[in-house]
Amino acid sequence: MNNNNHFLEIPLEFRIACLLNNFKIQDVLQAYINHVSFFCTLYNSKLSGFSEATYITSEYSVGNKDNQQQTDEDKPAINRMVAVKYIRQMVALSLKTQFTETIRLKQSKKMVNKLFSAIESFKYCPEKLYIDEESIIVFTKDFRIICEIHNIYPKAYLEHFMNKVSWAEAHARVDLDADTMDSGLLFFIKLTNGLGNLKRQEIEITDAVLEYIDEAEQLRAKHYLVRNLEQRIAIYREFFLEHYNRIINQYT
Amino acid sequence: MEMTIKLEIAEDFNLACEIFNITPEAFLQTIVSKISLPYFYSHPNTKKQWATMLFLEYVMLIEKDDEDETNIHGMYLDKMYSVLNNILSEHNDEEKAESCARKVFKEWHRATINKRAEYLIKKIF
Repeated sequence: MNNNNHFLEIPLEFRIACLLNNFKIQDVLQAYINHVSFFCTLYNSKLSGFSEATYITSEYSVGNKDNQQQTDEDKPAINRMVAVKYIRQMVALSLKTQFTETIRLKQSKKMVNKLFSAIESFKYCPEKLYIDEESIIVFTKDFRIICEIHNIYPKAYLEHFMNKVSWAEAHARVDLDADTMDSGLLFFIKLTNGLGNLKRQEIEITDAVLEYIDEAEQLRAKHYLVRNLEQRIAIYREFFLEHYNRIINQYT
Repeated sequence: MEMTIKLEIAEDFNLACEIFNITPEAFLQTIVSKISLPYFYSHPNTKKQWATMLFLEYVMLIEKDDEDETNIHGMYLDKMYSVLNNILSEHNDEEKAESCARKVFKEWHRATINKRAEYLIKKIF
């Protein structure tokens, strides 16, 4: 794994999912970052959007711990006394179930800010990251704290999230009523359903776009015979890829 | 096969039929004649098969939770898929694919009817 912040690799399936939903890649990544909450990593959050984004982030932190030897150099530069104090407060807050999760999350912000100030230097997560010359994403305090504590570069988290997103898999799982859904994928589906009020780009309605809309509507009926999830995903993947290529080639 | 059915003709449909001088029978007959799953799945490149599409949309809309029947459907959908896939990818013969699919389709029909009969008999005795 490339352990730095350069060259964010954007997987093709992720590009496809963004384009076919008229989302800007940077907007989707920013929405993911905005929904990662340090507070939510401390308990089993049920807050829509936050729970999914935080879950995939924690999943990566935990999965990555096993093959990583922490040296003294890796230890976060943090004022331990202060950090422990505020993490304790947050755990206590998470148990106050008389308040709704939204209220608790709001209240946790003060402690997150204090915890953030306890970090003396940031080795892993900068303030922002350029995706290309024009697009920039900004990291939240929550996200930066998580990166520093786990010694993980934001690039790794972002790529982990992007690798979970497949428009073909989303459709196949919904169409076949498959009951399990990966958190990353679920988060993306929620974005398409209006979470975070993501702006849809205005697009030119070309023949390729019209053809896509027309055929996408018939997709489920056309492949009704295919009951196997993996097979259905493979067929959809080919379908979306073909249309993605046609649509981007019309622009150039 | 002829069947007498009773339909409630909606006002808008009725008016449209009268404006264009179409009898509801003629219109519905055209749609019904075009509904064919064996044809639909053996001619994947034929566009605008709206009648069958509409039927399938309805099937997916009302999908029931009867476990026994769902199992039979699953089994025959798999069978139809593998038969069609075989013929279409190896011989690219749509006519042959259609007639083979129709055979499976009839088997499927028989299996479903038998299952329902079994259920009724169990209820009676």
